[in-house]
Amino acid sequence: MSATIELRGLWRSFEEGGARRDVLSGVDLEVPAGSSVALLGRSGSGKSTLLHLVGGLDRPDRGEVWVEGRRVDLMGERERTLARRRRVGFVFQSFDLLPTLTVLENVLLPMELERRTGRAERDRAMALLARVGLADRAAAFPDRLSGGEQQRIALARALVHEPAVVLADEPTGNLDGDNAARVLDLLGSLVAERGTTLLVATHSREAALRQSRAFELADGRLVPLELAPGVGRG
Amino acid sequence: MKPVLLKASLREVARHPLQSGLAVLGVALGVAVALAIQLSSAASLRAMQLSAEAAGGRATHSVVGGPVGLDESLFTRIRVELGVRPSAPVLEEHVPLADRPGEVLQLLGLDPFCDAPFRTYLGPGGLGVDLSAFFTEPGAVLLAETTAQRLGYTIGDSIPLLVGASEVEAKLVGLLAPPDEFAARLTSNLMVADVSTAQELLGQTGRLSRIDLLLANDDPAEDERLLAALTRFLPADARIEAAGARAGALAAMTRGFRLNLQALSLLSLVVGLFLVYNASLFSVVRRAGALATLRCLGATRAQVLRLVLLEAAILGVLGSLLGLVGGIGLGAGLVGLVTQTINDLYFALSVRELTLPPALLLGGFALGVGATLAGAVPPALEASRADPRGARRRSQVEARARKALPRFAWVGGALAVVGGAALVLAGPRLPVAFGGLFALIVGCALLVPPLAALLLRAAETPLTRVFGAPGALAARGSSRSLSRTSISLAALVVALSTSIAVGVLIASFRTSVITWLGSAFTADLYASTPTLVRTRASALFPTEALAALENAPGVDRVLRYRTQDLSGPRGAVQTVALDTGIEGALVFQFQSGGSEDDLAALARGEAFFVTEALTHRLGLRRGDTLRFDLARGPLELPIAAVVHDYGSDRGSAIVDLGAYQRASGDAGISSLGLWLEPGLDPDAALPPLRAALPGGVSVVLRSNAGLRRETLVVFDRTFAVTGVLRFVTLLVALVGLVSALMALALDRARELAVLRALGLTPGQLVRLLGAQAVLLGLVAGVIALPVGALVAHVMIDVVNGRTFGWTLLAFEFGPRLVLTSLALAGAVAGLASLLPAWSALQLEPSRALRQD
Repeated sequence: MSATIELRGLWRSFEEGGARRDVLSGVDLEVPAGSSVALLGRSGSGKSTLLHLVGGLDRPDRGEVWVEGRRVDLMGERERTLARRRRVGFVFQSFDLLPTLTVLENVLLPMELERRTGRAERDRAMALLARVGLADRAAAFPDRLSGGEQQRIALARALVHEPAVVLADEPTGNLDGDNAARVLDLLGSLVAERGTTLLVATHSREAALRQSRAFELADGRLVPLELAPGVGRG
Repeated sequence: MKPVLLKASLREVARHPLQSGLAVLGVALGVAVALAIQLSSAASLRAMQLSAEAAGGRATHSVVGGPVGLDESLFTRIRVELGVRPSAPVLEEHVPLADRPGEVLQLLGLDPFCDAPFRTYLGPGGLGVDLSAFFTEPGAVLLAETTAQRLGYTIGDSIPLLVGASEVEAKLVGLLAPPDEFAARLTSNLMVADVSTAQELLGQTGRLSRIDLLLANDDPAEDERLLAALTRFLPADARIEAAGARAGALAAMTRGFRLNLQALSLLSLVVGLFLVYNASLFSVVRRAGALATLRCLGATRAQVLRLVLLEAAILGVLGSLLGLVGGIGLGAGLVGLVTQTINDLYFALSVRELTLPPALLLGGFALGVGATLAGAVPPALEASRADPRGARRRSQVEARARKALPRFAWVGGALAVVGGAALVLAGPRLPVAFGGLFALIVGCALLVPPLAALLLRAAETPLTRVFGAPGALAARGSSRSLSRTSISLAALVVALSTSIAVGVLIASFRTSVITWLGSAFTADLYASTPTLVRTRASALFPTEALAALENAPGVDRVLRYRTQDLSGPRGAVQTVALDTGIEGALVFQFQSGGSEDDLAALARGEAFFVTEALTHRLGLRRGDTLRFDLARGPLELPIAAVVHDYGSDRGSAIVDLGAYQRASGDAGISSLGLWLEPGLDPDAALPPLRAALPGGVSVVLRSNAGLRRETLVVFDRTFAVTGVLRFVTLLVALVGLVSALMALALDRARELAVLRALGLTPGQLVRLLGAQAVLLGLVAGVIALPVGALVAHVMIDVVNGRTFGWTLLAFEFGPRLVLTSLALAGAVAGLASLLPAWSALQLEPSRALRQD
């Protein structure tokens, strides 16, 4: 199985109070296609930074970021944006649905940006909404929905354009236990059905246990964690 | 204020340099414009005062004459027969320098032997120069040393002067050394000559402009007795004026013009006030949590109020200081335009310097800080009244701000009604009328938020249908952002509607002037002497030139005009006497009267026609009687008709030339209208006619088309200042909108970052923000159009009607104006979105996502 995501010697530091702090200090990682990886770590340990680098939202100080065989860190701004738009799906902790768009419009947005606005796209979005159990709320605005419902819509939005990679940043951080479990179930099954590669940054051991592999990000480096056999996928 | 709170305020201002900078810029622009207009207006007033003081000196009274001044023998008789010893003859005129284009000096002809008690600034005990050359050299004149240096003349130089139609030579024979700085100012624009030399130079042998008197008796009763005796002694066309009346009359003449400019300049400050309100509101909303924490920690409501006001005061002080500097710079630029207009329309005036009266500077500063604080009071109150628990949640503050919008609408509606009522009840009181106009504009602006919400809601469906999600994003984003942008939108509506109104006013006025020119000026060519004040031609037309033109080949008939300021019980009135018997002479646009009988009465010399500006100024009506005291007796006739005329805002009376000549004995002519034989082209006829003129006289000969062109050039120049003010007001609105959109972009940083994470390219982001801004701009434009039309209607009534007494022949509010206004609104808003878009692009999406 070839690697969808490959990180080689990744360094990233930030200016904090006049001093530079290394958040990532030579991170190496290979994520095979269709597999899932959990990133655990304290707040500020660099999990989100790592996701942003993979998604092309940020660039490393040093090192290489490969996604589907292409050097993302060498791409220009526009190329990274287009690559992200077409091949990456994002799920955020705070859902981040656009308040001015309806549920259906939010889900359609990644394809709208590609000017793919035909019947087929609409059907696919509706099918995904049905899959996450919210087809009947297609015309509602996000502020009418609960947190769990909003995150399920965010899942649909992340997958509607069939990306190769889904990057989930604390997807259950703002949810209670039941809702968190439901979202994780959905996320797991949706990516498994599509063979999508998943990278999840999380505090939750529960969430980490559902992935093929797990790493702890500590002092800027990835440390492999042992998971109970047979729990993860891939 | 606790030092820590002060520190917090200063840091708050410093931490948002762009937001603070934009607010400072808005205040600065408002203060700069208001101050610049005040300064240039004050400079022209000061110049009028200096000119009057320089000419009048310490005189307590003056004897002034009719159209052709006074006979100089009157001076001797007053001195010898009446025994009024402290008296001095004066002949004065503004004269352009032929070799220094644009330079105009005040030629003052004096008698040095009688003048010492009057113009003491010329030097102790007289002129302080060797008088032999002064009396013996032909054309001998004196200039202040600094004036001679400035103009590059040295003693012995010839100074060519343009006097009426001719060029004459003066000779610099000495330099005045003013004893102090005040005297130096008074003399800076003077050219002093002996009265007989001045008479020669000006071609007014035996004539005086006036006789100055110094009635400094300790006994007022004695003064009264002397004045009564003088009044009985004077000929019919002479009268006594108290000192100060001159400067007062000059100032009164331009009062309307200056007041209009000041009112317009204050509008940009009103727009600036909206901007400050918006900036303060944004600052309060953004820091809702921090302010609530302060309250939780024990800060009182009053402390929070002071904190917010202090921040506004910091911005206000910075903006006002910057505004003072900008105002002085802009004032120096505007003084030229203001002076040019006064020169074009009223009288020759030379303004050399922009004085900086401390009171004006202080006033400008106070106005800026005051407006800033006034704009910050509502948000500061809002912040101080918030419940500490509730205020921690920003959305609640936001919700309260949104709830306040309907209140704005009520206040706005009420203000508009009060403004309308003030306009109706103001009558001729201009400040009340302008107050009403302001209230109407601001009232309409406060109606903007609810109106904009309605319009955006209406635009949502079509935009979503046409553009899909991006269209919906733009429409709903604009709609949701109204709590942030509506105040800036209101400011934009104020600026746009004022701009539209001023545009309509100018266009309507221009069309009216063109219509009037077309109907009132029917001759093929016009001839006059060169004049300093473009709306007047009172200098004498050379008789040899008159004869040459009347007999020139190709000339069919000639219409003679005599334009003079005539005095009567109602003061001085410009009177145009014309050959009523010439075909084509009696063409008018009538406001009232104008029947065949009225025209016949004018032609028989039995009636006046007056312009509507004169009826306005003197409170006259058709049927009233107008009287002038002329050399051979009074000219008293009824007013048979009122005509439209935009030539002078002082107005004028029209009378038959024969009737005027019989009453005045003045056979002079000021200008001519010439009709050519049929088939001749006026422009082609000009060169041979110019060649036919005798040498040594300079007569200005213009074709009808040329005259219209020149009139419109003067018209356009008159409104050049207005153009500058319109531009700056729009600029302030632009700054306000930039500020609001910046706040919005900062506010939506997370949302924009998510869009970027989903694959929105930088170009798409710029287009999205641009589309939202343009949409808001178009909404502002749609609201500003009817408001602008309403304000234009009121302005035409206030500015043209009540200030100058003109009714317009057109109201120019056409599709072109609608389209250009909408385009302007969209363009201003689109332009305003560039900086916020750039700033949004600078914010890395990863950082925005991490920060939440």
